[in-house]
Amino acid sequence: MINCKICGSTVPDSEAVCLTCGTPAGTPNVRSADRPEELQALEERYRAAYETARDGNYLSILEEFDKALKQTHAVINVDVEFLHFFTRNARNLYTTYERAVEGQMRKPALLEFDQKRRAVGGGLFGSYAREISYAALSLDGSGPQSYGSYAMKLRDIAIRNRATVLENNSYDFVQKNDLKPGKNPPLGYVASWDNRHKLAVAKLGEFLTPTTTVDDFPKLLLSSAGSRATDEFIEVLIYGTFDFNAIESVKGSSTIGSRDDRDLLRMVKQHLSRAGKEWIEG
Amino acid sequence: MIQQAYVSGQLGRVIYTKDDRYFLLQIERLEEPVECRPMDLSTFFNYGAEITTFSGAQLDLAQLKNQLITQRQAYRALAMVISGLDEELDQESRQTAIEAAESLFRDAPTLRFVRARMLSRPLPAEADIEVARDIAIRLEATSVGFLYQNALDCGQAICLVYETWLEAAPEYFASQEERVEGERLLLELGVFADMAQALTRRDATALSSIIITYGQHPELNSKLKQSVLILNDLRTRLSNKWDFPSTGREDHKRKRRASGDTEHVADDGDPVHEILARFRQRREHPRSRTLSADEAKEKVDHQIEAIGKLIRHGNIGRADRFLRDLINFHVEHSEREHLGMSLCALSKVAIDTSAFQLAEQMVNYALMLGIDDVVISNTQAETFKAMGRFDNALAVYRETIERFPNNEVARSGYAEVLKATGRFDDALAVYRETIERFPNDEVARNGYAEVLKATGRFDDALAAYEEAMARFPNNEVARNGYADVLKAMGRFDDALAVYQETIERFPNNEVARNGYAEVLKATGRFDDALAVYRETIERFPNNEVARSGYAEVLKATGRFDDALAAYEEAMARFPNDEVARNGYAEVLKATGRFDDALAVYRETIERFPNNEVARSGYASVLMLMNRFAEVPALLSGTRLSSKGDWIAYHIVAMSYLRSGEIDEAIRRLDYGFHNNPWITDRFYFASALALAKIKKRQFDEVLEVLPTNVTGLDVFQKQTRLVLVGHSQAALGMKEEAAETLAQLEQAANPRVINLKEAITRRYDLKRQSSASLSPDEEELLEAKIQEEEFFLALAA
Repeated sequence: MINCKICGSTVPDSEAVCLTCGTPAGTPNVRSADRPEELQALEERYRAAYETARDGNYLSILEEFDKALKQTHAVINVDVEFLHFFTRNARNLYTTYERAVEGQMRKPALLEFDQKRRAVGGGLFGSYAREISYAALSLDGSGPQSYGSYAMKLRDIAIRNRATVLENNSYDFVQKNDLKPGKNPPLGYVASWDNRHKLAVAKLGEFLTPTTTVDDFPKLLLSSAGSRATDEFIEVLIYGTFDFNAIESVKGSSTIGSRDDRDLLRMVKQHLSRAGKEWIEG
Repeated sequence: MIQQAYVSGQLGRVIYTKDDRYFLLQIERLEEPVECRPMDLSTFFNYGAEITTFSGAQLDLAQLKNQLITQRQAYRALAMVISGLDEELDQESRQTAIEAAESLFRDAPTLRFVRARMLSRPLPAEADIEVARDIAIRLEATSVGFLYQNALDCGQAICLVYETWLEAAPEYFASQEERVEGERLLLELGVFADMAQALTRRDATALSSIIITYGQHPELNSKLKQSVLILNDLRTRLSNKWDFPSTGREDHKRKRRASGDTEHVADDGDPVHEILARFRQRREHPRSRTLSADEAKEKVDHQIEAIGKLIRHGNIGRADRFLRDLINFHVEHSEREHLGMSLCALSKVAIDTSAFQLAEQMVNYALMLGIDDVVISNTQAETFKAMGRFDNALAVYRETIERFPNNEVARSGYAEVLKATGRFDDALAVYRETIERFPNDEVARNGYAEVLKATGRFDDALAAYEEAMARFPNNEVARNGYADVLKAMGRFDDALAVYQETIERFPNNEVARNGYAEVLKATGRFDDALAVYRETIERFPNNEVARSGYAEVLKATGRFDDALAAYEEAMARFPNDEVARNGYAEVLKATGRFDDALAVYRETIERFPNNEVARSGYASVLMLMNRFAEVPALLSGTRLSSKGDWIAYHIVAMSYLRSGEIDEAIRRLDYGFHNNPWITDRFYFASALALAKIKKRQFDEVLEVLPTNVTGLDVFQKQTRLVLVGHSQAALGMKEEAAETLAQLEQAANPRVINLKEAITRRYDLKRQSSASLSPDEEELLEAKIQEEEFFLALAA
């Protein structure tokens, strides 16, 4: 726990603001990732990856990989239905009718669900699990296809102060480490946004070889063949939600899906274009 | 077992919990739920999509799939309607969106969902609605275009309803959560939309009817206990803020004021106003004495007769010109009071021939004369009543009764309007009081008996008529009323005897002749009925009722071409005969010429906007064309007071049945069956309710809804009942009973009934010819045919 810089009160680990004076205290996930023991464990894994690369004679590749990883971004894969909803949801014309009842967007009936969802997040996030939005770490703007064919790339500025990264997607991470409520996750598998390259190096360094090229990096970081069972990526955990302004670009194919889907996509592209967001065909 | 589920139509996804694990169901992969990952959860819950929560022991995957499909379709239609308004989108995308919405609107609940949203919130400034409407019109996307037009027309009212809600809602709820839930319910049911439409139509009665319509809605009642209080309070607040048309009395007073203000009246462009204003200043323009009073009267009578004839023949333009001559003649040769009476006499002719605008114009002229005459007031009230403006009529009658407490006509007129709006107890009280004060008032006695009949108190009605007949042995109206009650009781022979006696005693009584023919028709003696009608038409060529009655019998016996010809003749002779026009459209409908029927109804509605029968008929044809999504919009907001309102309510309920929303149809039909104040009209709700139960395969309940041993049914009602009962008995395996029931249809002349009898017999093998057993495909075909024919039959009822 930390103390508030303004009033000196103790800020609980699960809170983003001081409960006494309301001063922002940094988001709980970032504070947790920046704990000394967490930073130290991550640093050890990061260094170990470098040692291994040096021994394996691919240090320069690792350095290049490390450098590239500092340019990674968060992507969220969605289907065209969500994409259309999300892009139109930014505009009053649509929300006037589509979110007709004020305060209805998060329903009280979800409380029970939140409790269970917290259990899924379990030892990872404690009581703030409900606040986390999930994305994947990507180098080329592509994301895990098993979640949808269109990847929304988030602007760095929209998340850098509130995002952390986790070794795998949290579902697999919890399974793999048999995390149950009360059991702490292993140290060194989570990092703040600025340290995301270290986590990626620690996780993936051993998969590099002297023949690995820059073109291989994106697939190494995020491997997706369309099946959730085999998808492998570093998960981005963003505290809180965000709006359409947080989107930098959307990547996907204009030729897939039904005619209705393509009609929706045409509208999506127009909304993106009007808002100055890029559409990347791919 | 599924424990809890969250459905989002906007996202096309469901998340549900099963065995404490989370699964995701997507619209494009309905058969393959996948276990949720955290990213699924955050995209579902974190970005503001509307979500509906479901829980309960009965929850299953099939239900969730249905919910998802329904909600997704509704939200997709909403998004497409809004995209049509979005000027950020190019023309092609807006067209695509509007076309998609139009196609989705074929589903009635989808249309209702979108309408409820669009008419509940003020149009955002960036909505490009005029262009959207034009695109819809160009694409012939009529439902979407109609909705845009409604949103435009109701703009001011929508703002008022919304502002009023925001202002009042904090007083209704203890917490923000309750307020949100209450608002959601009212919005989604379409309460706000209906209120906005009622305000826009300046229809205070429709606004009040919302309380009745929604006050008994099961979902609203169970989830929002104080719903009636809220609806009432909203109604009051809105009524105080909205500029409803004056009650008629204010019109009346305004006209009176205007009549004293020459400059003002000369400004409104009608030269007659100036003439009338000058006429009021009689001293300045003394009456000419070139004609004696008798001579003047004789000339006036001639003019009135000529104008009346023109009105009856629908030559309104010419009648209007002659009317000016008549007014000028009166100004020159008589007194204001005489002109007032001439105008009232002609106004009544105009009412009888449905030339309401002209009737109102003449009443207004009479009011401008500045004479305080009870006849003018009564005529004004009568005009309002004929135009369906019941509130105005009541207001005028009330004021007239206050000013002329000894006027019997005003009292009976007042009671008559109360009856027309279903306020039977009030009507009876007024009649009783009138009879006490004026024991010799025949009209009040007959009116009293008429109300008793309408409420199903047949014995009391008979007693009241008997008393009237004893007191006034020559009162033909009482005799005909008496016979009509006997008919309603199923005592057809007694009714025939009374009519026969009346015809013998009063050979020129056209009503008795038509009543007699009606009973013959009701008992299936079609040839006799036709003969009586033919004779009546020959004796009284201007009797519109006989002509329509004649055509109606031809239709009932399947002689559709003859019926059309008879109606055509009636329409040519009486261009303002709405009954003939509606009958004509009904025959076109019965012969499957739906487009022609629609055209006739449309023209009738344009010419006679208050004709509820035409509106309901139009809606019923739309329904048969499977354009049932348009039906509630056409008839929505209708008040539930007059006989016509209940017919419209029935048609809307049938549209739910047609569109497959059987539970909603049953709810409405059951309500009509138990609450229609016109007891004798409940049979059509009963038939439709039985049909809905058949659709739900609740055959045993059909036998409860439709007992066959009731009296008072005419041959058509009885045949409909026998078909539905026979079908249900057969489906329940009661083959002998079913065969017996259907055997009672041996004499049926209606081709639809004959076909149905054969189809049911074949479908359930009632002749027990096991060799003729049906393949599943044949069974399905027969079921479909039976359903279609039964629907037609119940609709015709």
